[in-house]
Amino acid sequence: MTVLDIRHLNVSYVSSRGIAQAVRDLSLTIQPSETYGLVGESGCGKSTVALAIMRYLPRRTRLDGQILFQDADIATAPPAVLGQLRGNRIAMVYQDPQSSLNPVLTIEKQLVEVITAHEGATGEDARRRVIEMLEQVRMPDPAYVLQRYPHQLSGGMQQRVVIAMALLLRPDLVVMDEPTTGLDVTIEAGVLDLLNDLRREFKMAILFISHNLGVIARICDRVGVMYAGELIEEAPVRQLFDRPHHPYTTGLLRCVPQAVSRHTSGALYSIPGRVPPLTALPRGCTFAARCAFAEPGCTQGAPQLESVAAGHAARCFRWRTVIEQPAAAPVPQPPSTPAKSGTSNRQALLTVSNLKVYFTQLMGLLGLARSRRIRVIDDVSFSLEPQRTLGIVGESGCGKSTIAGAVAGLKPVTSGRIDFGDSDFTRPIARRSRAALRQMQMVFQNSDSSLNPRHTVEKTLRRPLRCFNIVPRGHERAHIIGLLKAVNLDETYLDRRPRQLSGGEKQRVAIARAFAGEPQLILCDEPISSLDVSVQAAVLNLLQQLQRERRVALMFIAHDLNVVRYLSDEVAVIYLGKICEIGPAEAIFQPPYHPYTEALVSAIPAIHAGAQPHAIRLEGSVPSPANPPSGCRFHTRCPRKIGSVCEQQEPLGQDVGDDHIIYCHIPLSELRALQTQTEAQHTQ
Amino acid sequence: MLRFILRRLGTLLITMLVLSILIFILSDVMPIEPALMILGRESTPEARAALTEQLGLNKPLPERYVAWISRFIQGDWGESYRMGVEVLPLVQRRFTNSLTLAMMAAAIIVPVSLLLGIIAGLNESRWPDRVISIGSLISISIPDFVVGLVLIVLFSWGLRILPGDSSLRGDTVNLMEHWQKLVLPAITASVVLIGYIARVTRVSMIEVMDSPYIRTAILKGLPQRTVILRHALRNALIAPVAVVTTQLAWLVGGLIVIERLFNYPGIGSLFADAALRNDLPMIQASAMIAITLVVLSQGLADVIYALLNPRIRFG
Ligand SMILES: Nc1ncnc2c1ncn2[C@@H]1O[C@H](COP(=O)(O)OP(=O)(O)OP(=O)(O)O)[C@@H](O)[C@H]1O
Ligand code: SF4
Ligand code: SF4
Ligand SMILES: [Mg+2]
Repeated sequence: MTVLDIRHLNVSYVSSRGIAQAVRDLSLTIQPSETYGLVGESGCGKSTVALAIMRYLPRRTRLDGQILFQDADIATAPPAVLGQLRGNRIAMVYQDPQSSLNPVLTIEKQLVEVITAHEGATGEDARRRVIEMLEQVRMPDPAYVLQRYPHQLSGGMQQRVVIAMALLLRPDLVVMDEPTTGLDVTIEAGVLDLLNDLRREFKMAILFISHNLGVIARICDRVGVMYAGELIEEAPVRQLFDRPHHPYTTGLLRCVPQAVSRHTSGALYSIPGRVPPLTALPRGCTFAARCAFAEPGCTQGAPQLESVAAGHAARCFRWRTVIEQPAAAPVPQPPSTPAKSGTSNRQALLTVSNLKVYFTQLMGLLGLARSRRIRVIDDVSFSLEPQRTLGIVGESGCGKSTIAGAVAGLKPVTSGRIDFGDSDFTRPIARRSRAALRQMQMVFQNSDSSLNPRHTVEKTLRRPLRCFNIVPRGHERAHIIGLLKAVNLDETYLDRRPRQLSGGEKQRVAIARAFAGEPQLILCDEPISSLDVSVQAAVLNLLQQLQRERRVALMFIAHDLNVVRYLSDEVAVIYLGKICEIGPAEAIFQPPYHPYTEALVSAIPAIHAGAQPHAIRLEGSVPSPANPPSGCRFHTRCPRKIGSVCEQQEPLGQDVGDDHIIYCHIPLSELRALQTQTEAQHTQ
Repeated sequence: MLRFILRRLGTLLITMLVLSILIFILSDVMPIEPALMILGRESTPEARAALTEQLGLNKPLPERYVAWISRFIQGDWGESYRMGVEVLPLVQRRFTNSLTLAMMAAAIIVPVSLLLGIIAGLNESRWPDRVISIGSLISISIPDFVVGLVLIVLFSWGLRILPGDSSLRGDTVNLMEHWQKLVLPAITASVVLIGYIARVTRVSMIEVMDSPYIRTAILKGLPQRTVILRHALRNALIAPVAVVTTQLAWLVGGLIVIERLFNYPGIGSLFADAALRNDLPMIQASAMIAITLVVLSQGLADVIYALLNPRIRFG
């Protein structure tokens, strides 16, 4: 018996800019206990499908087709019926649990009211059921959590609350829209494990929406790929990942950096162009403009969803050709960066020695009473040679951005030294020389806040040119166009303002600005985390191409380990303000690992089943740097902790060779043995 | 919560102390010679010097400040230069009058404006919202004396049901006895603020109804009543409540025009006179009253804000 049966669903948003056909002629079914994944780039209509199932759409929206759920057609059901279904038979879990919970009500109130609304139970009885459910989502200390307000819980706990809320009345269908997006990899891995257990325990059907293919691979049975409002391919999960039939799916899969380095794999594949505007869709196949297989016939008539194998359908005229041509083998690139020098003959470009960044937090009346020191960065040293790339990884709150901030002179240094070329960069930005400033530029995660919304692209790029006297005034415009070309934008972008640019375009402008001053070092703080995979790949390619052409060094901060592995020559793994492991990129991602690195590596959702890393999970979240654990800072969460020595003594660095250092009490040989053993167990 | 309040009170006291120093310094640099003011232009320079000496006005500034503030705290607010009466009792009487009027206005403003704002917010861009939005825009843009005049013409001269002259015999207001006299000035004082607060409430309500947690509440299958009363209202009121409490202080100060218009013996008219006539003790008293009011209402706003918002309470 089918749980959900969507037939020919169309959803259009009506606004002053026109009618956006966000979902077009979409049909899909979900069986009991089945997890159905929906993927696609941003703006392809995934959330719209979710909201249509909940019948939660803006007032001026056109909806037609059928959404059959049990005896009801949700598309036409009256409010009373919807009220009975929602939260009871169909529940929803959202992205960003923090904002989905009401900030002014306790967790208890928000959970109990679900039972009260649908079953009338109140008081002790309801409370008992709520506690049971919290236990089932593996919430530590449920009774305590009930009394808390949302902001007092960590992100992982908040998401568990939201999941518990959805499962309270054992719904038949749960709609999850990007439930782990925005969570740290380690927390994401925990939530995914939980969902995997729960879907078996509860035998419920799940519609699971995500733009992350690795996450989809980890949790779904069947997958639908959406492009520009249409379902363009549907297949059982393994089949989709192993034998994609639609060029878009193939493209998406190839965009994701696998567990490899760029030195071996070459440039990333990236789908050219972007999703067409939904207010003015092209004739014929909507993907034609970006498709490598397109032929004139593709823009004549629209392809239909066609069965290509048992349970596998694709919307492409030429799927036979697509599967015949194996994805073009990646072109290995000449190594873009010089090999690491011997220890003495090259001078480091950037040397950070014993860097400490402490913040003082004032407490009490006007801050007079007490103050406490927060040790955000505590004794960190590393160096970076010209034209090479250093990756910095760690969970959020570990101090990655603070390191970049200190190097850039935006955060005051408490002690230690930062040397850049011949100049002392320990001092704040206001006291650095202009020539030195020019040599170091930054690209931030959120280009929205770093680009001035009132400046056009041209003005944004002209400023560094003027400021550092790069070119004579008369030649500025030509030079700016050259910069834009370098980031694959053309001169039509000169007069645009940030709000007229897509996320990827904004990030390219930010990169162009960073390169405008012709620096020697660019600090990139999560430059691609807010972008779609296809755009991510384009931006990563761009960064390495520019690095090669313009001979800059990169310091690259990211939480995505595969991205860091792909791009970096050296990697530093940071936990609570300290380096746990540092060394050449290839070495970092193989045993022996630091136990923290091991956990991070094992948390990466991988696309291919064979590549699924062994499961080591971290409990809880990063402790507060105001009160860091004694001894090894990782001991409160370390799955390999060996005893009280970890709590009492700070581990010294053990040299694995080749400048690869691991800060842990476990002897290297033992670490290596333990970790190869676990890996073997899990690949069996 | 108690600790929060105590901490706030501490901060308030310090703020007031700092402000009082400022006021004292400012009033010291004003080109006013108290002795001349008290004794008049015909007095001899010697007599004036003697009086200055007697009043302790030639001592150094810090010393005079300490003397002034300690007298002030003990309730000795000096004598008016111009009226020859004790400042404190007069101010007290007038202040009570103004406060009564302000309370009456507040009793109108708060429920009416919040209700209008909520209704408008819940019906975004449908007719109730359009009507309320336009109404509040109009009410904000009309100066209050115009509103007052219209009301006087309408209710006092035309319909003859309410008095247009609100003067009191003996300067003391008795709410029971004089309520008719308060109605028109109170309504006049309300109009602008109702428009203003209703607009703030409306925007806040729209924002909240659009938030992910309201979506959560609706998709839990809660009845609309519960969604609005339990989930939306408290969040939506946080912003307007902050505005209301700060605006009420302004309301007392802003009564000058209305008190003049209706001939009402409040503190606003008292201070207007004092300022026009360089009556130093009166000016100091008025400034102190004003800052106390502002600072206290800010403190009250903080406390109510914290009560509504657990993120502040539990940091
Ligand atoms: N309320 C709305 N009014 C008008 N257009 C909208 C509205 N909500 C979404 N859209 C448009 O509909 C299209 C589909 O949006 P939707 O949110 O479903 O995409 P999505 O696949 O979930 O993207 P993401 O991965 O970014 O969440 C987009 O072009 C979006 O701009
Ligand atoms: S129909 Fe043509 S344009 Fe569309 S995906 Fe297939 S080959 Fe590409
Ligand atoms: S020192 Fe101990 S606690 Fe720290 S990482 Fe090594 S085993 Fe774990
Ligand atoms: Mg979405």
